Formats: sequence, structure tokens, C-alpha cells
Amino acid sequence: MPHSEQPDEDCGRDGGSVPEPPRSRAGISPKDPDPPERIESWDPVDDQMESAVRRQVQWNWHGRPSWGRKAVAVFPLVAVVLAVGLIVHTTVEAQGAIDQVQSVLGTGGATLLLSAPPQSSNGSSAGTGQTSDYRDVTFSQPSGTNQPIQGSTSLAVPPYVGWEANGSAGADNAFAVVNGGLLHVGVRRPTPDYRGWFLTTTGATPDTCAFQFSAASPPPVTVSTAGAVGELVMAVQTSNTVATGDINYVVVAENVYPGGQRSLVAGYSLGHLSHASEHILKRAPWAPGPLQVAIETNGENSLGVWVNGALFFSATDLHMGIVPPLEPYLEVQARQTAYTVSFSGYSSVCQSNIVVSNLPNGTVATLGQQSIAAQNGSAVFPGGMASPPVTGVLTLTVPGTTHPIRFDPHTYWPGDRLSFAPGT
Amino acid sequence: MSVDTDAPPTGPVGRIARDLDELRTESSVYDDLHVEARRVLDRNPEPRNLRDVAVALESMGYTTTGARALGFDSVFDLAVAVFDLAYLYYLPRAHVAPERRSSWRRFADDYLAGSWYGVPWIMAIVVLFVGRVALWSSLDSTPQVAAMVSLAFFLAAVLAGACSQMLARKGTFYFLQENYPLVRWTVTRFLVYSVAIALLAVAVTYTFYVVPYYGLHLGEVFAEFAVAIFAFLLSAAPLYMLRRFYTLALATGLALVVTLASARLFSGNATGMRHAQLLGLAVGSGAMVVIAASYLAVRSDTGSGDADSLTIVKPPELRVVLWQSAPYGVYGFAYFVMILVGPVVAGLAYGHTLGVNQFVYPSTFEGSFDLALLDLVILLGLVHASIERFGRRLVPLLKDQTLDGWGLARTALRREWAISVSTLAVISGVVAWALPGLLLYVLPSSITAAVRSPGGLMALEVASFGFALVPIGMLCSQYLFFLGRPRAPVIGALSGAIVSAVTTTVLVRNGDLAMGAWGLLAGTTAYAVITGLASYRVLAAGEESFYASF
Repeated sequence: MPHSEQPDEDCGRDGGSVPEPPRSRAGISPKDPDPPERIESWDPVDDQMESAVRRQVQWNWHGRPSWGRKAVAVFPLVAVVLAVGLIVHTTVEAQGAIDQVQSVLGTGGATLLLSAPPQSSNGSSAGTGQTSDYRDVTFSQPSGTNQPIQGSTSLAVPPYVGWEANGSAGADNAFAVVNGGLLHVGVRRPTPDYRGWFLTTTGATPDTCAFQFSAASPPPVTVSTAGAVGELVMAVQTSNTVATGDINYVVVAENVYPGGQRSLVAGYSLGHLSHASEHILKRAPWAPGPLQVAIETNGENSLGVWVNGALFFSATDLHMGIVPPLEPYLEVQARQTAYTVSFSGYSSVCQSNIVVSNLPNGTVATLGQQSIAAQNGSAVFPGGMASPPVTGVLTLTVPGTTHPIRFDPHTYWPGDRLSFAPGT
Repeated sequence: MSVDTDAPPTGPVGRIARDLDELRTESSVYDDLHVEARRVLDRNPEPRNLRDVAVALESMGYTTTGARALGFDSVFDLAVAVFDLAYLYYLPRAHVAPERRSSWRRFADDYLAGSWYGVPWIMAIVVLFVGRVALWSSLDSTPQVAAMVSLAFFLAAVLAGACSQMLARKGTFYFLQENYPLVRWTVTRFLVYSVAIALLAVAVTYTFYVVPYYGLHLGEVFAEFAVAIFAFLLSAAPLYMLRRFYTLALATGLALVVTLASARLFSGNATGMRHAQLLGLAVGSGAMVVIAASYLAVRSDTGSGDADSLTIVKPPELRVVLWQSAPYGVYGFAYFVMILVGPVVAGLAYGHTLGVNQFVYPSTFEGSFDLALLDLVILLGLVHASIERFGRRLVPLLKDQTLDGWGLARTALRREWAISVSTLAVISGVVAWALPGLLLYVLPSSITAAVRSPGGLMALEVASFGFALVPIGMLCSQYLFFLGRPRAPVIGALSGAIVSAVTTTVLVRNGDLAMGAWGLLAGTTAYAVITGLASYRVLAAGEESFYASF
């Protein structure tokens, strides 16, 4: 700092009003009583001195620092301390990654980009979710400890923004945790009657959208109690429950019994606060295996259920009384057994087709068995909102390039809008 | 700064001496005159007449009172005596014959020197495509990491741009005076304050935007790259100030090698976030090379020399220096915002089209936009050569004019402006027109993949004309800086930045990112027009502008 180095005691205290005594270049003090010495002390060699010879510089600093000078002088220190404080505080408080954009990496540095559900950087993941928050949820990030939500009995599941856990089994006897790319929802201990636990959204999805659930095969029930049953439940419920107390919902469930029997049920339930009355629309024996379910309903008279790509149930003359907009429930139900089910994904699908945009003209896109030529920069893979997602390798054959671009295996849901970013 | 202390001796007024012969009888006064003769020569090594000596004496603080203390009626009388003694200490300066070079040869030399500005960037592009890593760019980065690096580069560039301009202005001011202690004083203080401000800006961006929107891991990548890139860019500023273009190119080349080697060493097998973090360390290692080169250059260019024979240096008020150079900082900041804000706005719009509320690296748009930047590599040398030519011609032009001949000087200056600006405009137009086709013809198709995406060619062509206007604004700004008129360039750059940002925002709001290139063209047009009109007006005022700049 200018004011800390060799302050000149003779300078500046009087504001510079008194002329300073003359000093020669050679450093002779004017107070020298013998002028001839001054002259003799000046050596013309000084002016011819080699430039490499360095002379000492004496700094003549300003006088006593004013507040303004002090403020300017101290600014760098304050700024650095403030910066370090901000960074340390933010680093300690925040955690994890927020992937709002999903990228599918391809050869040559090419990528496909599409939006991903937001994830929180800290423990608070509750809040009003948007429909877009519930698109292509893949449970790729492990969850942290469930957090209580102020003014609610539900629990937040960080870092998943807009999702909350609750159910009749109670937090002491149930859990919802994400690890290994799966959402595990379970009841820890057997109960004499049906108890459940679910993960649902805090925001609603319009009834014009399809609700697509993906789950691993429900495990067998290991107890031999006659009345024991475990259920993998995929439900779509009115979002008015908090306001009205109505628990009206559409349900698709795979029931698993101790003897290994399984059945798949589609139906709806109507009720107020508790003990809803269930209306079974279709029941069918079922074999173990991953389950992919799409539900389309307007909540009143129309219901379509597709299982693993095939239509399982469809009707347009129902009287369900489920007031949209709706919320998905990823749920487990169990009686007289501990039971855990695992979901691999969920998506609120509001558009049909899969579209890859930003493609050079003439590009041919291949996904699964379909090859589509790009028109106006986009390749459109046809499909309905209830079509099952396609998991596989997408390739792009770009004109003028020798090798097609291959992207990593990925699950493409109906309604996905992917943007191609070329590499080199 | 004061060089010695200059106040004359004071004391009671004694007998009035009449001439030098009479003064010889008074040894003390006579000796004082020898001292003052040397001091006069120190101020003006070649006093041509009595007035020069009187001016020097007055600048040393002599008034009538001081002159009378030595026995003279007035300062002019004292000057007569001092002038008579000055020849004893006069050292004729070695006459250096100016190198005879044709104006075209000199112009070509200046062009090549100015073109070294772009050499580091050309090297970086070549190394990027050969080694997949160059400075802060990596072709293996994920889009998320690319977004962080892109944001970090934008922040670092606008901050370093501001600091570099301020440093260049004040540092060059003292450097041309060969006042090396104050060059070092300026460089040190500007670097300290720049680093402090940059750290604060990085921390604020990290805390209030990056971490809340991208999470901690990406936030750390952002902070790491922002600091490393800023260090790299800022450390090059003293080299620009000292005009050590060759050193800069050499240091950048070495930094590229170090970055490449470090990237291979640190992050050879790492993937994803880990790869990015380790790459940031590699960038930091490369920056160290430029920092070292910069330090050595400053030390060697300002560490010794005749000016260090000054024994006492009184530094200026730092806050005054900062305030005076603030317009140049604003100019540097706005200039980089103007040319870099397009991709940032496009990235935000891209995120919007993907349904996310964050900046997403718009690789297709960047692929076209960044190729157009190569315009500047060709044209910056012309700016440098033109301003050097202007500097060489201005002083002789004004010096040779008689009092009644200023009209001719003004006409000559207007002609100089018209020839330089119109030549640059024509060449810029040709370059802008030819470059896209040339690049598509010369570069491998893998590099120009973005251009072949929908709208890519249009974005490249428009951005090419947008960047071609930048040198025109830059040359006109240099005219104004030369004459100490920073206000118009500041207004021009700020207007350019605002027009560029607003126009880009409006045009890409529907998701057509390629249209963002028009934003750059609109911004640089505003910049070139404002600085062009202002510089013409100032040059048309001829000698008034020149002498008012002192």
C-alpha cells in the first residue's frame, strides 16, 4: 500500500505550501553548507552510466492518509475476504449437481440435448412443481435424507424438486429412497391391514397428458401368511385432495401373493379422506417382469391403460368423478408382509412423437427399427403419447461425413424434443 | 511525481548584481548558478534560447523573489546568467539517423506487428483440433461443462478487458516517458485491484447464479475456469502494454504445450466432472507460463535504465489514477460485452427452448459465430498499422504548419481519416464477404459441421460482417484515445453492447438461434458509426484537438 512504505516525514504535512529546498540529481542535499562540494560531487559520468546499473528509487509518498485514501487502499483486501467468504459459504451450504439439461453423448463429440427435471442444490426440494419437471424422470441421482416439509405431513426427497413422500404406513414404517438408478418405495414391517407409502408430485399434470410409469418386476412375497399380499401401484389421483379431501384415483396395480401368484388390476377408486371404494375394471393373471404402464384419462368417462406397449383396458363410458388436473402416485401397498417395489422412471407425456432437431439437411436418423430422413432440420419419429419409451442407440448419418454418429444407449420417451449439437 | 525538488533558494534580497563578470566575484552565488545550469539542462537538455531557460527556471519554482535572492532583478535576468553557463554542461545527443524505409515497407512491418495480436488465438485453434485441448477449450467436455467454461470465459474476458485497457492507458503513459518506477507502480496496483475485483465478481456469480442453477459440482468448475482464464488474460495485459507481441506469442505457444501436457497428465483417464476439474488445473498451469513471461518482460523492460537515475519518485494519487482511467475500463468492458454477449443470450434462449431456465452452451451457434472471429486475425494488423502511421504523420504535420495554415492541416487530417477508414472498411468488407466461403473450402468438414446445421451458414455470413465492423470502430476509437477523448469510444462501445444484447434477445426469443448473429451486426454497426462520426469530428478540428489533448 502506498501509505505504508517509507513515508517521507518532511513531505506533505504542510500541504506542500512551503517550497522544498533544491536537491541536485546527484542527491546532494541543499542544506549542504558548501556549494562547491555540490558542484564537485556531480559527476558527468552519472549521465553516461550504463543502463544496466540500477539506482535506488526513493519513494516520496503522500502525507497522512485521508479516509478516501484508506478506503481505496483497503479495498483489495476487503474484496478478497468477501469473495473467499462467499465462495466458502456457498460451497458449504450447497451440494450435488443440478442437471436441468440431459445430454446423450455421441461419437466425435456430438451430443443430443434435452431438458431434464430440475434438482435442488440443497436439502429443500419441495415446492410447486411444473409439468415439465415431471418429464423423463430417470432417478439417476441418489437421494439424500428425506426432509420434513413445513406445514405438511409429507417428506421432501432431495434432490428431486417437486416430489414428496407420504402414506398410511407412516414415516417410521416406510421409506422412499433413490439409489442405483431406481426409486425404492417400501413398507418395512408387516401390518395386519393394507398400508402403503408413495412418492407423488407437488404439482399437477393436465388430463390431456399421458402418465407413463416404468418399474422393475415386483419381488415375490417371502412370507407364507395366507392373507399376505404386496402391490406395485401406479395411480393417477385428483390434485384437489388437499383442498377437498377427495381421494379419487385411477389405479393400475400388480398384486403379488405368497404362493407366487400375480395379477394385474386396472380400476378406479372413489373416497373421501380414507377408505376409498375400489372399482375393478379389469383383472388378469400376470407373469413376473419389468412393467411399463401408460395411463390416459380425463378423470370422468375416458380411461386407457397400456401395459408394455399393448392396450390393457380402454373405456369411454365411465363415471369416475376424478377432477383434473391430476397427480401421479408411485406407490407400494402391503398387508401382513414387508414389501418394497422399485420404479425405474416416470414421465408426464404431453406430446406425441420423438423429434430430433437442428439436423443438417439430408441427415438420416435411426432409432430402433425406424429410419427417418430429416426435413427442415428435424427428424420426427412417429408415435402416440401412450407409446412406450424406446431404449437404444440413435445414429445419425450426416451427408458429407464418412462415419455415422452413434449416441450412447438412452431411453427416449414420447414427447422428447432433442437438439443435435455437432462435434468434430 | 517530482524529480528533485525545485524550489529556488530563498533569503533576504541583497545587492542587485548586474552581469556574470560581476557575479564571479561572489563565489557562493556563482556556484549556485552552476547547479541551476545543470538543473536547467536536466529539464531541457537542449535549450534553444533564453526563453527556454526562463521557462525551465520558472518550472523549478523561481519567481522574482527567488531570482533576487541570487542577486538578479527578474527570472529573465537570472536566465541570462544561467544560459551563459549552460554550455559547460551541455552534452550533445548522439544523432540517430532515422532508418530509411519506404512507407509501404513500414506499413507492412506495422501490419505484421499488429497481426501478432491474433497469433495466440490461431495457435490455440490449431492445437485444439490437433490435441482436443487448448487453453480453456476442450472438445471432450460435456455440454454442461462447456456451459460452465463458456460462462467463465465471458466473465473473465469482460473483466480482463476492462483491466487491460486501464493498465494499457496508464502504463503506456509512463512507459513512453521512460518513467519506469511509475510503470511498475501502475502495473502492480492495477493488477492487485483487478484481481480483487475479479475474485469478487467470480464469487458473486458463483453464489447467486451458478450454484443455485447448476449445482455445486458445476459451480466449482465455473470458479476454477473463471480464475484460470482471468489469470491468463490479465497476465497478457502487461505484454500488450509493452508491445512485446513476440513474447506474447512465444508465451502463449509454451502455455499451449503446458496445457496440453498437463491435460494429458492430469486428466488422461478421467471422465466427466473429474476431467473438467483436472482440465481447469491444466489451464491454470498454462496461465502460469504467461504470468512468468509477463513478469520477466516487465522486469527487463522497466527494471533499469536511465530513468532510474531518478532518486525520488512521488507517486500520483491512486484514486485519481483509477478515476482518470475508469473510462478506458468501461470501454474495455463494453467492447468485450459487445462481441461476446451474443452467444450468452443465444445460450439462454437455447435453454428456454429446451424447457430449462438456465444458460445452455449453444454449440451450433458458437461453431458459426466463433469461425467468424477469424476476421479479426486478418484485420487487426491493419488497425495497428493505420494508427502507427497516423502517429508518425500527425506531429510533423502540425509542426510544419504556419499560424495561417491550419486549414491545410485540418484538410490533411480529414483526408487521413477518410483514407484510413475507407481503406479499412473496403478491406473489411472484402474479408467479411470472402472468409465464410474460404473457410468452408479450406477447413475439414468435421470442423465446419456447425455451419452446415440449419441457419449455420447464415449465422457465419452475418457474424462475419459483424466482426468486420469491429476494426473500424477500433481504429476510430484509437484516434480518439490518441487525442485523449475517451468519451465517444465509451459511448460507442456501450451502445454497441446494449444494441447487440437487445437485438440478439429479440431475434432469438422464438428459438431461432442463428438469427442472433444479426444482433452482433447491429451492435458493431452502432459502435463503428458512433466512433466514426466522433473521430471525424475531432480530427476535423485539427490542431485544436491535438493541443487540447495535452
